[in-house]
Amino acid sequence: MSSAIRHLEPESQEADPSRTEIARLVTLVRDCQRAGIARQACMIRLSAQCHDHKLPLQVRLAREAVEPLTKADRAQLFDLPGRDMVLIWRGPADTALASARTAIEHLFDDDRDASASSGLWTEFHLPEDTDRLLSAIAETLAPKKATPVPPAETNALNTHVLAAMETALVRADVAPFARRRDICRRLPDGTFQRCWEKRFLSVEEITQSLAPGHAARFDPWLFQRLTRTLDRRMLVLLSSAGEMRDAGPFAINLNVASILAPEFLRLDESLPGHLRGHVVLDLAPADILSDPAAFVFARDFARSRGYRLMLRNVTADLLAVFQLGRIGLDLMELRWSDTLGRIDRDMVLTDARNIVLSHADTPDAIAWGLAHDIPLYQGAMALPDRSRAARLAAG
Amino acid sequence: MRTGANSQSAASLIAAGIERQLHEAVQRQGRQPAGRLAIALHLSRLSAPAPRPHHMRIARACLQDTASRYNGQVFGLSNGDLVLLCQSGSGARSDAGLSTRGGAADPASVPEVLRRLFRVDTPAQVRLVSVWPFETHMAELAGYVSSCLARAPRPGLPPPEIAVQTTALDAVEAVVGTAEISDILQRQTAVLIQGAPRHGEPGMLAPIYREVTFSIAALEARIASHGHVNDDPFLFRHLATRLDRRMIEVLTEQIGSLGPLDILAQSSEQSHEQTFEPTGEQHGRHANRPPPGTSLHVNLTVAGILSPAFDRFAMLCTQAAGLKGRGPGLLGVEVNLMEAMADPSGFARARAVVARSGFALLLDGVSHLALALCRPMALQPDFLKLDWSPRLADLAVAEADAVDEAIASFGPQRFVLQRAETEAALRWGLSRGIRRFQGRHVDAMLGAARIVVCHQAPACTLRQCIERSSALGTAGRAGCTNLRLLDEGAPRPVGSPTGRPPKPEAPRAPRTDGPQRAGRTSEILS
Repeated sequence: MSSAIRHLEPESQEADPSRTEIARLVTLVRDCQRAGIARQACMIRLSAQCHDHKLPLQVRLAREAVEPLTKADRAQLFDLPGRDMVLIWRGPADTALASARTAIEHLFDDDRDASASSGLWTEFHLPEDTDRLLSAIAETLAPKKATPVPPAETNALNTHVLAAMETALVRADVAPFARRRDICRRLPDGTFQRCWEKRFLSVEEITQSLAPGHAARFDPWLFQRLTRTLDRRMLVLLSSAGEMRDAGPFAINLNVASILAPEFLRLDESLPGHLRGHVVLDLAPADILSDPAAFVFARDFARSRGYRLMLRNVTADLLAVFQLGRIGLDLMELRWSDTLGRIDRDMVLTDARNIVLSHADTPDAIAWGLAHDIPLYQGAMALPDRSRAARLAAG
Repeated sequence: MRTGANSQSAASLIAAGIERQLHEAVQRQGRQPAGRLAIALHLSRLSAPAPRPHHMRIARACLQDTASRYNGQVFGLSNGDLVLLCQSGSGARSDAGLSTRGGAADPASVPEVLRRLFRVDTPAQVRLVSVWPFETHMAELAGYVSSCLARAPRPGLPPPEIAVQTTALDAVEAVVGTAEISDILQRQTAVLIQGAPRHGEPGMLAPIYREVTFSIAALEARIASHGHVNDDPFLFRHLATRLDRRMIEVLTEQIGSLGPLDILAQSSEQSHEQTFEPTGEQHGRHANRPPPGTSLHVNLTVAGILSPAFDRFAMLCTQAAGLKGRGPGLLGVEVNLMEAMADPSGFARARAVVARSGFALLLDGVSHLALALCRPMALQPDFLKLDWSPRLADLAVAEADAVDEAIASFGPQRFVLQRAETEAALRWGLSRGIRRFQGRHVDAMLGAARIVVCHQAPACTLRQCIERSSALGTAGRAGCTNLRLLDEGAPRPVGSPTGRPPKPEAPRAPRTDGPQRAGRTSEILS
C-alpha cells in the first residue's frame, strides 16, 4: 500500500474537508472489498488535463456532464484535490455513463494541442478493482496540484462567439500561439529520431485570448468550422517571410477546403525546394467525408505538388473503415487508447509501415506499436534523443 | 434597373475583351508557330455543380505555373474555360513524374494532370482538355477561338463562395422552437420492390417506412433573409444537434397519440409480411431485429441518441407497448456518416443504445464516392443508405468495382438506394440486388398507384397528390378529400391485376414498365 493511501486511513484523518472526503472514499472502497459488495466507479482526472487558467469552465462543464450519473442508484460523488472526481454507484447505468463519458471526452479532446486524454476517464468494477482504484487515488494525491482559481463566468462556444472569433482572427497575430511537436521514428537501439515536426496553433490559448471563458471544443461542429479559419491563418503564418528558411520537414492539420484555398497556393509558391516532398498534410475523416468529391480533387492536386497526405485521428473504431490504398493517402495517424490496446496482438495491420501511433504516452502504447510493426510515434514516450542528436552534430 | 443593365453590359465588354485578347494573341503567335502550343481546359463542359470556385482557382494556378516557366499566358474565358498559350516543353517527363512540381508544370504533363484532377467531376464522353500545337492544329485552335468570340458571354460562372451566416442557424433554431411542428416537417415513403416479374406483371411495391425530416425548404422560407442553412456541412451538423432535441421531444409527446408521429401507431397499419422479404432476406444477427420498415424513420445525431431524453423516449415506448401487449414500437434511427466519423466511439455506444431499445440503425448520407474511398459498413449499422447519383451509371472501372464489391460484401438486402429520382436509379439498384428504394421516382410511382384507385382523383393532379402525401401539416394536405388513402402509402401494388393502368392524362405519370424492365435485368443477373 502506498504511503499516500496509508496516510488517508480513517484514523489519520485531519480536519481538512478534502481529506475527510478522501478518507470517506477510501473507507467506502475498502468496505466494498471486505464485504464483497459490487459497485461501479469511475475516476475523472481533470487535474491531468488542463492548465490552471481554464479550470473553472472545464470543471463546471464536466460537473454538468456527470450530473445524469449522480442520479444512478446509490451514487456518491467525491471531490479530490486538483478538481479530480470519483463517482461510485450501483448497477449498470449504461446510458448515463455513456453520455457522461462522451461529454467529458469532447470537453478535453484537444487534438491540436499536445494534451493526452488518456487517464481522463477510468472505470472500475468493485470489489475486483479495489487495488487499482486505491492506487489511482494515491496517484492523484502524489504530484503537485493545480491551485484553485476563483470561478469566472464562462460558457461553451456558440454561433455568436464563433462569428466574433472568425472576424477577430482575420487580424489577430497568431504567431504567439504556434506550437510544435515531434513525430519520431524508433531506431533499433530503442531511441527515437525526429522525422518531422507537427506545427499547429493552440486552439485553447487562442480561444482564451479572443473569447475568454469559452471552450472551443465543447461543440465539435462549431469547432470544426473554426478550424477552417485557423487553417488559413496558419497557412499565412507559414508563408510569411523567413518562416521557411531554416524549417525542417513539417506537418500541418488542414481541412480539405483549406488545401483548395488561395492561402495554400501562396504557401506552395513560397515553399523552398528542399522542403518539397517533405511536407505532410493531415486530414480528418469527418472532413473528408463531408465532401468526398472535393477531397479527391484536393488529394490529387496536393499529390501533383509533391505533398504527402496523412489521415489523422484514426481511432480503434475506425481502423476497419480505412485503408490507405483505398482512400489514396500516404500515412495514417492512429490514436493510441486503451481500446486500441485491447485489440488482439496477432491482428495484422495492413498499413503498419505507414502508421504514426499518436498519443503514445505510456510504455504500453510503444509495446503495442512495436508488436504491430509500427515505425513512427508521437507522444511523451517517443521523444527524440537530444543527446544522441547532439553527439551526431558534434561529429 | 439601369445600374444593373450597365454593369451587365460592362461585364460583357470585359468578357468579350478577354476573348478578343486571346484571338489577337493566337493570330500574333501564329506567325511564328514553331514550338508554340495551346492547351484549353473546357470547364464549361462539366456538369453542375461543377465547375466549383476551387476548380477554377486550382486549375488556373496549375496553368499559370506552366505559363511562368514556358513563356506563356493564361486566358480565363467568360464561359469558364481556361486557355494556356505557351512554348511546348521538352516532352520528357522528369523521373519523379507527377510528384514534383517541375514535372507537373511541363506542358507535356499538364493535360494528364488536369484530366486526373477532374476525373470524378468529368462526365463520360466529355473531352475536358484540348491540346493544339500551333504548327499542326492551327485550324482547330482558330475555330475554337472564333466560336468563343461569336458566343455572347453568358452569365454561367459559378457563384462566389459566401460563408454561411451563423445567424441563419440561430434563426432556424428559433423557428424550430416556436413553429407548429407539423408545418416544418416532411415525410417520404420508402418501398421494397418485391418478387420477380411474371407474365408481364412487374414486381410489387410495398411501403416499408416513412422517413420524417425537418423540411429545410420550409425552415428557410421562414428565415428568408438569412440564406441557406445547409451550405456549410459543419454548421449544418451543429444545427442538427438542435433539431434533434425537438424531434425526440415530439416523438416522446406523440407516443400513443395515434398521429403520424406515434411510433406505436405505425406498425399496426402494416403487417410484417409486407416488410420482410418472403425468403432469404434475414440472416445473421439481423434475423430478430426489426426491419427498417413498417415504421417511422427519423434522423438523429450521436449526441441525441446518447442523451437522457432518448433514453426516456425509448423507455416510455417499451412501457406503452407493454401495456398493449406488444413489442417496442418500430423506429428506424438514421445517423449521418459524418457524425459516425467525427465520433466513432460515440457512434458505437449509440448503436448499442439503439439496438437495446429494439430499434434499427441506418447509416445515412453515404455517397458512392464514400463507398469507393472507405468501408462505412465496418461501422456495423443494420442498414446503409446509399445516395443515388447519375454518375453511378458511368463510373471508372476501379470505382465501379469498389462500389459493387462493397454492395456485395455488406449484402444488397441491407442497402436502401435513396434520392432515387429516376427510373435509371431503380434499374441500377435492382441489377445489383438492391430492392429498397426512396426518392422522387418512388413518390411518383406511389402517387400514380393512389390516383389509379382514388374515386376523388379527377379533382387532382399527380403532382398535387405527391406533394400532399409528403406533408404532415393540415395546410400541406389541404385539397385532398381522401386522406385515408393519402396516408396509406401504396394502396395496391403497382401493376397488380387489381390496379387499373395509370391515367394517360396524369402529368409526369411514371412508366409502369420501370420495375418490370429492371426486374428482368435483376433476374438475368441473378
